[in-house]
Amino acid sequence: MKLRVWLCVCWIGAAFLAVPIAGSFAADIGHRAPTDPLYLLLGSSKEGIGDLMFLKADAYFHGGIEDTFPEETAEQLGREGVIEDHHDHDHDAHAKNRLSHWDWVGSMGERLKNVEHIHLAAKNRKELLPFFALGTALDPHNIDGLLTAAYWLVRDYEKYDDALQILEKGRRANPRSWEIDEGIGQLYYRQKQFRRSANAFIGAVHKMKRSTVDPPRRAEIYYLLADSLDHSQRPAKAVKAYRRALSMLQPSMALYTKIQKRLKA
Amino acid sequence: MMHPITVENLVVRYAKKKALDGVSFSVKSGEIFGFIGPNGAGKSTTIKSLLGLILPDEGVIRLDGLSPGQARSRMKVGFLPEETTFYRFLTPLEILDYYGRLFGLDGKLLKQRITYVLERVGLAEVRHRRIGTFSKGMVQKVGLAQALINDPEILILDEPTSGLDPLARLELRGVLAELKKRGRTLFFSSHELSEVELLCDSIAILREGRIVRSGSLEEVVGTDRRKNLELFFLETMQAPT
Amino acid sequence: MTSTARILAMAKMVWVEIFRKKDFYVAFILVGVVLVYAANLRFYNIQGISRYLMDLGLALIFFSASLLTILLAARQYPNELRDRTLQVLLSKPVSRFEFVIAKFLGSLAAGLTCFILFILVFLFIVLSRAGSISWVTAFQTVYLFALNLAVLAAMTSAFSYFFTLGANVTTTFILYLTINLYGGSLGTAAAGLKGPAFIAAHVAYWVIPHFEFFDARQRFVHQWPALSAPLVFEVTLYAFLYTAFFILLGWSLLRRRKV
Repeated sequence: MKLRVWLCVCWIGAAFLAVPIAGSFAADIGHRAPTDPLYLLLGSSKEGIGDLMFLKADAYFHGGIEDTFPEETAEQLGREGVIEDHHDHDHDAHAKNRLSHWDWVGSMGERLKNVEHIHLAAKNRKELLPFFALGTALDPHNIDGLLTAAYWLVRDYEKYDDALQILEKGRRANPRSWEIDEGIGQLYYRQKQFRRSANAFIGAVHKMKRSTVDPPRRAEIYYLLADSLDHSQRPAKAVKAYRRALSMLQPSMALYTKIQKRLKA
Repeated sequence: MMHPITVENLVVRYAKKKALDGVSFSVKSGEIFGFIGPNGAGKSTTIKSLLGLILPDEGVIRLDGLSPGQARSRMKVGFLPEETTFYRFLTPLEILDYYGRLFGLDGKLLKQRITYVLERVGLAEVRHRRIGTFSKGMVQKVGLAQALINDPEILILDEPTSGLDPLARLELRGVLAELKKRGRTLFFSSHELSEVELLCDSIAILREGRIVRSGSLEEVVGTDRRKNLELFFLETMQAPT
Repeated sequence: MTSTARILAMAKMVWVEIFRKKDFYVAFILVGVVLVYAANLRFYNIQGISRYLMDLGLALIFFSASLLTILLAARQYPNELRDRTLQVLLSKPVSRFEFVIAKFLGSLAAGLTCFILFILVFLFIVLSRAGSISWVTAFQTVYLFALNLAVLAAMTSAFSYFFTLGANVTTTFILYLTINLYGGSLGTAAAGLKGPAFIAAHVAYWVIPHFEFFDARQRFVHQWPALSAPLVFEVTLYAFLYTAFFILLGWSLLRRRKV
C-alpha cells in the first residue's frame, strides 16, 4: 500500500512539474511560456501536422490524388517522365512511372490508381472543411493555408464569421503578414462593412512597405482601400488612395480605366 | 516378426558434433523399454528421431514398419514430451478435442475417448478450466492425456514423472501398467532409475551418444541381489569409455 | 482423416487464440472509440461531411487489422517452439507442410475476421453520416484488403521460420509500411539513381510484393469508378502467386529443420 502511495506521489509530482519546466525552457529561448494544449501535446510537430492537413485538403480537392503535378516530381528526381496531355485543362497532365515497356508492375499500379486531374464538385467541397479546421488550428503560421480556408468557407458556404475568426487568429500569429490583412479587408468589403475593411486595408498597405509586392497587386489593394474609404465617407483619403493606385498601373490596364472613372465621379 | 520400434545405426549430428553415434536397438511388442543416460547423452535426440522431429544423418528407424518421416507412421503413436506448457488459453477438453481430431477422431467416438482419458488421468473435474491456471503436475497430466487420446499402440514418454508428486507418480505407474497389460509398447526415458527398475522389461544405457549396455533388466544388471540399477548405472558411467 | 481436415483443425486453434487473448479487444475498442468520437465532430455547423470519417476509419481499420495479423502470424512458430507444443503437434500424423499451411490459414482467418468486424462497425457509423455509399467500390476495397492480408500473413509466417519473434514483427512491419508508402514511386526513384543504388532499387522494385496494389481506400472515399473485373482478377492472381511463394518459402525453411 505504501509503495502505491509513493508511486502516485512521484507520478503526480512529475506531472505538475512538467508545465513550469516547459515554460522555463521556452523562456530561455525567448518564447512565451506555452499555454496552448496542442503545443504541449505535440510540441513543434504541431505545425508540421497542420501543414499535412492543408496538403490533405489539396488532395481532397483533387479527388484524392496527392501528387497533382507529377512532372515536377519527376524533374526533382532527375528523370523526365512520359507526359500525356489532357487538353481539357492547363494543368491536366500525368507522368507514367514505368521503367520500360515491360514494366507490368508500373502498368498495374497506374491502372489501379486514378490519375485523372479533377476538381471537387461544389456539392462535395464541404469535405475539405475538416482539414481546414484542423490545419488552421494546428498551424496558424501557414498563411496560404489560412487564406485558402477562409476563401472556401466564404465562397461555398458564406461562413464569413468563421472565415474572419480564422484570419484574425492568423493575424495575431503573423503580425507582419500583409496578406492576412488584405484577406480580412476583402471579407469585410464583401459584407459592405467598409469602415472595417478600410482599417484592414490600411494595415495591409503599411505592412506591404517592407515586402516586395507586384505593382498590379499593390494597386489592387490601394483600389479596395480607396473604395472602402469612399463608402465610409472619407472622400479626401479615398482620392489619395485612388491616385496612389493609378501611379502603379499602366494606362492600358482595366483597373486604371476603372479608377479614372471613379476619380472623375 | 516386425518390432514396433527398430533403430539401426542411428547417427545424428548437430553442426559437426555427433549427438548420436551408431545407436541401435529394438523394442518388442508389449514391452516397456527404459532409455537411460546422463544429461546430454542423447536421449531426447533419440526420441525426437523416433518421432521424425529430427531427420537422422545416417541410419534407419522404423515405427511399426514405417519411416518416422511419413506422417502416417505416427497414427498409432502417443508422445508425452518433457516439460511442455501446452496452450494456456485452452481447456483440457479443447486440447484433447483438437489433438483427437488430428488423428481422425470425431463425433461420439471422440467424446467417449476424451471422457475416458480425462477420468483416467484425474482431470475430469477441471476439464473446463484453462490450462494457464494449472499447476505443473496438472499440466503433466494433460500431457499424458493427449498422449493417450488416440489409444496408441506405441507410447513414447520423455521424463514422464518430471514434476509429479509421489501420489501422481503412483497413478502414472498404474496407467503404464494397465497399458502394458493391454499389450501396448512403451518407450520412455527417465532419470528416475527406481521407476525404470520397477516398470521396465528392457533397458538401454546411453553415454555420449552411444549405447553402452542394452538388454533385459536381468541381463544388464545381473542377478546379484546387492546391486540395483542405480549402482550399476553409476559404475557404468564411471568406467572409462 | 484428410489432410484438409487436419489443416482446418490446426487453423481453427490459431483463430481461437486471437479471441482468447486481449489483442483483438484492445484494437476493437480503440477503433470504436476513435470512430465514434470522429463521427461526432462538427465543422462549421455544416451537415453531411463524411469523407474524412471514411478516410480516418479505413486507415485505422487497415492498420489495426494488418498489425493484428502480423502479431498473430509472427508468434505462431516461435511460441510453439518455445512451449514445445510443436514437438507434440509434429508427433501427431501432421506433416510439416500441413503445419505451415495451417498456421498461415489460421492467421489469415483471424485477421480477416477482425477486419470484417471492424468494417461492420465502420459501415454502421459511416452510413449514419453519409447516407449512401457505392457498394461495388466498398466490396472491392474489402476484397483487395483481404488479398493484402493473405500476402501479409504468408510473408510474416515465412519470416517466422527464419527470424526471432521481435525481429520478425519489426522487419515485417517496417517493410509493409515502407512498401505501402513508397512502393508506387519506387520505379520513378529507381530510374534516377546510379551505381549500386540503381541495382538495389531495381531489384527491390521487382522483388517486393507491392502492397499498395491492394489499397483501394481512396477509390472508396473519393467515389472513383469501380475497378474492372479483369484488373481485379490480375490483382488476385498477383496476390495468389506471392502468397504461394511465401508459403513455399516457409515450408522450405521448416522442412528439414531439427525441431
